[in-house]
Amino acid sequence: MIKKIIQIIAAAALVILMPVQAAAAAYWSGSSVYHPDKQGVSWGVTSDRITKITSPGRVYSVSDIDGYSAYMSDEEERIGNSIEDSFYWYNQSRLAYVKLFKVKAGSEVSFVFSNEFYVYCAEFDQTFHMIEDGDWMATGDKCKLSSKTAWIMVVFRQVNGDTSLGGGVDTKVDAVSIKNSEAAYVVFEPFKYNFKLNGGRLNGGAADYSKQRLGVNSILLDTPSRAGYKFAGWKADSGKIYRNYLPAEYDKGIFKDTTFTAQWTEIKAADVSLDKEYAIMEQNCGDTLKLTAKISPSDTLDKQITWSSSNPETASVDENGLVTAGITGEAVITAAAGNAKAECHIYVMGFEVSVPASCEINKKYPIKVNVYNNGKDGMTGRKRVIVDTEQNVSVSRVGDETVKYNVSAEVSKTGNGNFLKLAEGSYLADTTDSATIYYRLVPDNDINRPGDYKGNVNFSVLID
Amino acid sequence: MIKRILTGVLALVLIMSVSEAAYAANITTDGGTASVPVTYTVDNSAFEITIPAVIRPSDKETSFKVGAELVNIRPDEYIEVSISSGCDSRSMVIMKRQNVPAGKPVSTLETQFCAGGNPIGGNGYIVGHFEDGSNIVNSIGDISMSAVNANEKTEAGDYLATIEFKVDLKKK
Repeated sequence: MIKKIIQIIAAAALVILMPVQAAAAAYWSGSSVYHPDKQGVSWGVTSDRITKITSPGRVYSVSDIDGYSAYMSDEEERIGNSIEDSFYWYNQSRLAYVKLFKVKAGSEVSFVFSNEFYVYCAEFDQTFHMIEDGDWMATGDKCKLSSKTAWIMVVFRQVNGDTSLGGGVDTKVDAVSIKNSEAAYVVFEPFKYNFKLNGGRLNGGAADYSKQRLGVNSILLDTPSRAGYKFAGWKADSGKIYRNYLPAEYDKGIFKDTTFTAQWTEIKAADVSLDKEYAIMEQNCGDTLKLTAKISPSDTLDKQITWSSSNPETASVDENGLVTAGITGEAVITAAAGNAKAECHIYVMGFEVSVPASCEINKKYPIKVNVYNNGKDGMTGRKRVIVDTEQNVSVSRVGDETVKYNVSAEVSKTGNGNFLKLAEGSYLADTTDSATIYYRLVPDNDINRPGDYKGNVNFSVLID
Repeated sequence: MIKRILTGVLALVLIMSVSEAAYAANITTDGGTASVPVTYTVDNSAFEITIPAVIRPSDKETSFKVGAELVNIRPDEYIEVSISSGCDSRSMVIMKRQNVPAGKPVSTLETQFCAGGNPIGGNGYIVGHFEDGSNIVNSIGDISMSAVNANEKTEAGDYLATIEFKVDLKKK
């Protein structure tokens, strides 16, 4: 028994063929109204009466049908193989057809289908009163019509409700397959729209493809990918942009053959990182450092890193991130991609080691080590300034070089404390910061031969 | 990586004028080592010169020596011993008769000092030249004294003259 009104749409061209001129309402049952409109006007069904469809392009959505389908609100109501039941399947498969067949009253119609196939058949009089809320009919079934029956309405769906079969085009239900019927008039058929999706129209980055929409179901569209771009949706001919989902609700912009064009948003560099936050380099000795920048996201189009230095005289950088130290100082190397950037602080260390112009034996001399821009405390990579010299020096008596004496290097941190002999393998100074140490040469034995003595001592500075 | 660094240019300063230290400006970039002269001066020259307390010429040619011991002087110095007085320009030493009563004439005797066969007056009266390490060696040689000019008419008595030696430490 029909509990709710079913909304049906008919194509205008078919309605023109309808032989019945319905001037008054025709009821299926209860308050449900279902009647053809006058000839030349499309059909329509609302909840309580047949409606003149004034907009031939109008289609009904699933939600429309849901509203008239009792089973949608009450599962129990669906039981009974009613019209609604068929529409239940329609709702599931989106492939239901509704057709009217003109028949002779009192005759017997039989159903002949090539495959296993069921239709729902209800009988109507000439004024479209529903006489019999019919039943499911399979191939070979026969149905004795009442003496008032002038029309049968056949609701059929895809074979066994198989939604995998496409389009209903194989459901050949016509006046031939229903014996003793005449012309068939389509009351409702599923929509079938072709969608063309131009994923690559803009740049060839995504493939074009097509998709077909049947009935008022929602459609999932592919989400294409394109290097360097983020998919922003499909733009319909109407200009409206859809993500990857076409809703079932009526939307005139897409309930027709539609071309969608993929929309893309350029992926900008969101972040740039460097493999070093800081680095300590050595001045004026060709010291170089290769910085490596990483751009994220990795698929951004902003792959070009622009390198710059805040102080090229101290640290210059080339287009590959190769930093070359110049004079002592500090510089900030910036790697930029788009609006993102990262910085690396470069300390170009310098040093100045002052040694005496000459050394007189038994006299102390400060060795001054000045270190500049050698990073900060706690930083790794700070340079060690190492001052090295000989442990022992030989001096010769001027005018009598056969007289030689050995003198030893001694070192003190304060100059006032004890001087200690420079140990083997030790350095005169080994520091990361400026420092002063004291140095002297002391003869191993008393030099008791009068005269002038001369020798040479070498100082060297190592940077580690 | 370790790099060799040159410590820079060193300014030369006279040792004796250095009170603290003299430094070079050593902004360093690249290079090797800096060689710094080491100097020292020892001024403890010492020596012993031996001069005869009494020289006794005779009627024959004789000689005496000026010696040096424990010579420890700078290589650029030498010790020079010379006669500063008591020897005239002819290299003669004139000895006077002693204890002559007042009013009576004083007779004299002479002897000539030579070195290497030459009168010392022609060589600045030098009687000794010593260098470092030349202990006891008199490079001048023995100083010879000619025979005094005494004869049978020479008045008897003691004849005496005083000569003074001077020792100088000289630069070469």
